[in-house]
Amino acid sequence: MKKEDAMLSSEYEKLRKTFDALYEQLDKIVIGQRETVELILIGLLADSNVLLEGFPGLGKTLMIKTLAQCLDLKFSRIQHTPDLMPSDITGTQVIEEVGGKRFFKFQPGPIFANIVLADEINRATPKTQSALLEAMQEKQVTVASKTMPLDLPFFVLATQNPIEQEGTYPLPEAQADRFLLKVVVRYPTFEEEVKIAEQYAKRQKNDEIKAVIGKNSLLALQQFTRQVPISSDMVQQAVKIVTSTRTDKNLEYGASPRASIGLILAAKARAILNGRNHVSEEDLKTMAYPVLRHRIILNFDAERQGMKPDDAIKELLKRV
Amino acid sequence: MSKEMIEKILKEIRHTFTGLILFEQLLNAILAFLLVYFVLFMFGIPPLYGAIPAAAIYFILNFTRRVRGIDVDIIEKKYPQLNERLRTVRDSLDQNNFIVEKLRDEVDLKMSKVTVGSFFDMKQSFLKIGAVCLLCFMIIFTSIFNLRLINDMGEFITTAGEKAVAISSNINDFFEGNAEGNGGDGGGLNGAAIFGSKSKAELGKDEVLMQMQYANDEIDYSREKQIEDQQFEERFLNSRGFEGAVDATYKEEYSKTDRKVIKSYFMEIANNK
Repeated sequence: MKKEDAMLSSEYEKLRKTFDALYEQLDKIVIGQRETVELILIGLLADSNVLLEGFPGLGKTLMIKTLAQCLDLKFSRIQHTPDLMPSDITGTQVIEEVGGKRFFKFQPGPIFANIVLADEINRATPKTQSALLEAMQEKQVTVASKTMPLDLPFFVLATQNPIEQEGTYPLPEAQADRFLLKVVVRYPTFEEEVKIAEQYAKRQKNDEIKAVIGKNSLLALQQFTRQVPISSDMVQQAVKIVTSTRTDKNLEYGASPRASIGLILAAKARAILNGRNHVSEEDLKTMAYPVLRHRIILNFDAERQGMKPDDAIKELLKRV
Repeated sequence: MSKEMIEKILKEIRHTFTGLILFEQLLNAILAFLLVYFVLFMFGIPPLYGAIPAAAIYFILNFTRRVRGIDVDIIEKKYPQLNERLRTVRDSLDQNNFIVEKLRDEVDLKMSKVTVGSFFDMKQSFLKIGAVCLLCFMIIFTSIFNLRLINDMGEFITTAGEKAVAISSNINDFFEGNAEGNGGDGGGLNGAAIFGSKSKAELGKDEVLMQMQYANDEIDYSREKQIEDQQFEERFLNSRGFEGAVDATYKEEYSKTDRKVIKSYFMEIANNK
């Protein structure tokens, strides 16, 4: 029995409690947004990247920063602007002088962290956006012909603003496809907002956040997630959902096979998060929305009828 | 729980369901046999010739179809707590990690609550056994009293065939004008009865043959010959045998007594008025 398996053997029994403890820590800072937190955790467990879309002031940055603290991971934030250069993200060679000798020294950029928050990614130029591509997919960075691996686990959480589209550069399909999930951050409920106002208007100091899951445990959990068994019926259903997007009457453009892999992986992560040891049909149907909404393009007729991607996915799931 | 144990469970599931299907299909085959036997018996057909092949084919087809359809989803549908779990275990036989182990243990625990009796429809089986008994009784009863709709199907077919041939022949003769009664002896369906006999008539000084065409309503006539001149007396009086005769009851002379009777009779009639 491997060491990690032995650890997991005892941790599997306590997995639900561990995540409950994680939520408890997050609830100190983040009020509501439970669904968003769950989806970010699913992205983490699936060892993939998540795109957050929401209006300003919903606590996206605060949420991710708090999550990084709970997971005891190194966190960095990159605020994307139109004048941001790729080297500002990856790092650059700088000249250093020691004892009269000059040499180039690599200065790592903010991407050298475990959780990278790419804020307002759609404001950066495509060249800068593509600097993230290699890092997100390969977990490595190439600077001055030198490839440097990133510290694992590596997780990119990108945010984008659905309004203020002027002067922005929408993510190209190739990059959007590399995000496992697109999470729509919604406004809090009235009761939640009352609580937020009470909490943050009263005090300024943040509560101390305790690390709940360590780096190695998270890596083990990511391996664990991939081992969740899934029946062949469920695999076929997942593929059927994704392939249906290519022939759907409301869609101009459907999802790629990467979406099939992503859907199964996300379903497995959801099963683990809910303390189940198998993937259910409900997992697939729930995860279809965040997995597919950024990988499909509505056709003119659907847009004319005021349809949104989620509406198209809902109709598709009814048919499948 | 090991992979071998799960394989054993899956084999046991298949084995048990095969037995259940065998019993059900045997019962259905017996029912089919008796039903076909009874129907054939009632119609005078040798029953064994049809009943055995019918029952055998029914059994073989249904049994193989049902056995091929045996799968774990039969159990999942009956026991929702096993839903999706049993088939996940079935499809992950080649995996060996702690999550799969936990799943197998869970399934093993829940499978202990699955009973064979829950898949056996007692009510339906009793109904079928009842139907078998009823059919047996009906067969025995009709056999004892020899109650049949048709005594001998072969003979019935032969007779029906002969009649059909006779009718067909008559129809042919009718249209070909060879039927009896057509200008000759009567009887049977023939053209003369409908269209009338061929006749000869005298029109003026011509003897004419008149005949109705069978295919249409035209009258065909042709001159036969010119008739000979004959005197009236020769032709009609002599040929018909006309002669004068006096009615024997007519009298000119009556006796006195007769006259009195007649007179009083008419007086009576006149007075009664």
